[in-house]
Amino acid sequence: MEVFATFAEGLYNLAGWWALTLLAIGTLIGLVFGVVPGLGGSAAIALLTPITISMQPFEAIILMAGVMSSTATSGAVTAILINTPGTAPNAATVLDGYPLAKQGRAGYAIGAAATASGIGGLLGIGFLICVIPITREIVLAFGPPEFFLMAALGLCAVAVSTEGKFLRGLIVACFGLAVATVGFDDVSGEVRYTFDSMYLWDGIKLVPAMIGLFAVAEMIHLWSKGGSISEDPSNTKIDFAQVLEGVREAVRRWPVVLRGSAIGAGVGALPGVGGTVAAFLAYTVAAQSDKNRANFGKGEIAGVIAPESANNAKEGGSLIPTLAFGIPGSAEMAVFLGVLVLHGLSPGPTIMTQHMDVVWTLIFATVIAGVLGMFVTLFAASNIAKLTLIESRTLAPIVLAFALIGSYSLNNEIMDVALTIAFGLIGFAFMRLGYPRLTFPIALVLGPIMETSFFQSMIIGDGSLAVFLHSWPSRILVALLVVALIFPAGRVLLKSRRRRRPQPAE
Amino acid sequence: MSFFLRSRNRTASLISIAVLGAFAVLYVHFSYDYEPKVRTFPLIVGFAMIVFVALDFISHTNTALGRLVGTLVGMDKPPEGGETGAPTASPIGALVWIPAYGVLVYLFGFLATAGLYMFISMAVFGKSAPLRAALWSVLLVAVVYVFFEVALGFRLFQGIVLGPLLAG
Repeated sequence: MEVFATFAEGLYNLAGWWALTLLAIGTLIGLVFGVVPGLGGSAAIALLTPITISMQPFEAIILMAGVMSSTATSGAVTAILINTPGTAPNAATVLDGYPLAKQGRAGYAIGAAATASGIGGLLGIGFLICVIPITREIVLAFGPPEFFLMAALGLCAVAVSTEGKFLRGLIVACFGLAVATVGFDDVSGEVRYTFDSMYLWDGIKLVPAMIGLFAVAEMIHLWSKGGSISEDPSNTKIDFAQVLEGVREAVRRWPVVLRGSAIGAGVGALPGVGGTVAAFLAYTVAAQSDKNRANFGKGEIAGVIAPESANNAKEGGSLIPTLAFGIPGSAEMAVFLGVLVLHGLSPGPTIMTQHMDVVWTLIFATVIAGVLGMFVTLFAASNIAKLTLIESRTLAPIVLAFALIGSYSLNNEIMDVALTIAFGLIGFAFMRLGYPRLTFPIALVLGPIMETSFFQSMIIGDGSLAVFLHSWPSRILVALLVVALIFPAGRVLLKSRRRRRPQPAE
Repeated sequence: MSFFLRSRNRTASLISIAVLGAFAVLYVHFSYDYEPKVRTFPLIVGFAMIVFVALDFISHTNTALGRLVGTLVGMDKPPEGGETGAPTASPIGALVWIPAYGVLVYLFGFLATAGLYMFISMAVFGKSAPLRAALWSVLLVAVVYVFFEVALGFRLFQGIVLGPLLAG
């Protein structure tokens, strides 16, 4: 009965005109942010967070659901039209989408991409709904040692996902964990690393730091690069009849959509692996199993459908570790966790047991926003693409003004602006020097969870580290942690062995 | 033969290792100011960071150990390309541009700074005509004011110079 009550409440939260307006606004903002390479969902959520302070928790969640479920959809438009993926997961769409555009079939590719993206999003959420009952049981069986190990595994998995930057991913993760220890310590009640600054008593605030790390850092990058994303206005023209043809093609190729969505939802559920891996995996599987495999890379529509269905289906999957364990699987989810915390919702077991109505609201909002995003992209792809003609020297001051004012308005604190600027510079330095930013927000969110779980585990185990091997879930998590740590070495060794193997004569 | 591997942005990379290494060492040092119970977790994090930074440094050296570490920890791609891979034209200018924005906000508030930066960015650094830049500046200030002050009811910071003048 409780499930039905929370289900109904979740649906009721979305029933009003205000909720639906927020959802539409979130979806449109997500579509705009998805077009500008680098900005994406994390920056959009970070920028919108301050505006949600005066909202009810479910209203803020509806707005964010709109953003999250639409950024990847519009990112495909620029991937197809101008060979520039709006968000990282759209990179796989470029491989066949852009050749289609060069053949004069951009509308066809966009129609197929938007439809696959919309259906993929729905299937991903279906996966989440199926998994929720099991997840609740798992979460309730977890104690502090398991939570500590799960958080450590999440961080390592994220570092592993930054291929070629594993070590630097771990360095940034440690930096994030160290920054997370600044301020009042919940465990001991002591204040740490504040250097007599009252401002630091509350710790490094997540939202101003995230606004800096993502929005401000990207604006510094964009501004210093100059120019606009696309210089040629003719690249943004689309034939609508082709769009409808693309829609029909995506529906006709339902096995590709289904397979891509399954890959997306499954990969999305693994912390840190993210949409880019899901999209490329779906593309590879499609390229190997499709009867037109020789056409891949030359403008094969299945090469657009597969990654697009995967990268939107991963949203449903990635909500599983985020909501159930409080372990964000991506930077976007880390910032979203900040929104939940800001509104007094504690991710992890509490939200799964006491706030299921919020989870249902999020699910319904994601479904509606996914469909809405699909339709807006289908009907307004040409206009969405025109956003890429905006000069970076015009765009940067606008985003910067909203970013810094948003950061200030959280607490009416000018020091938050300084913090945002500082993290903007740190984020830009990370970008320039090849340090993956992804692990920082996740570490900042996980830091307090890890420290508290570690402390509680030590009490349970009477100071012995053997407490981390007492239960079967712990042992499995330790084994996975070891695998995650040695995985990059194994991958590199395997690659070098393959390279050394003599190639058979053609 | 150079002790360090040849790569783009090698100096910047080594400086970043030095900065992060110094941060980790100082973090461990300050952790010892607290009771054992309070410093356990920070010390684990700090020492782990020192180890990782040391490994990163070793992986940049042109030695057998450096190449082995570089291979084993997944540094199979040169990390200096940057996250997005796109070269930036004037990073130093951009780095000055942002803190200067903060200083101007502190002195003259958000609205004046937003308008001023919009104008300078478009007219001086961009390709826009001064009149067009001025119109965009006015538009941005108006949108920011209406959105934050009127619609959301936030009181925007007016700066320590401009605030008293406007109040007076």
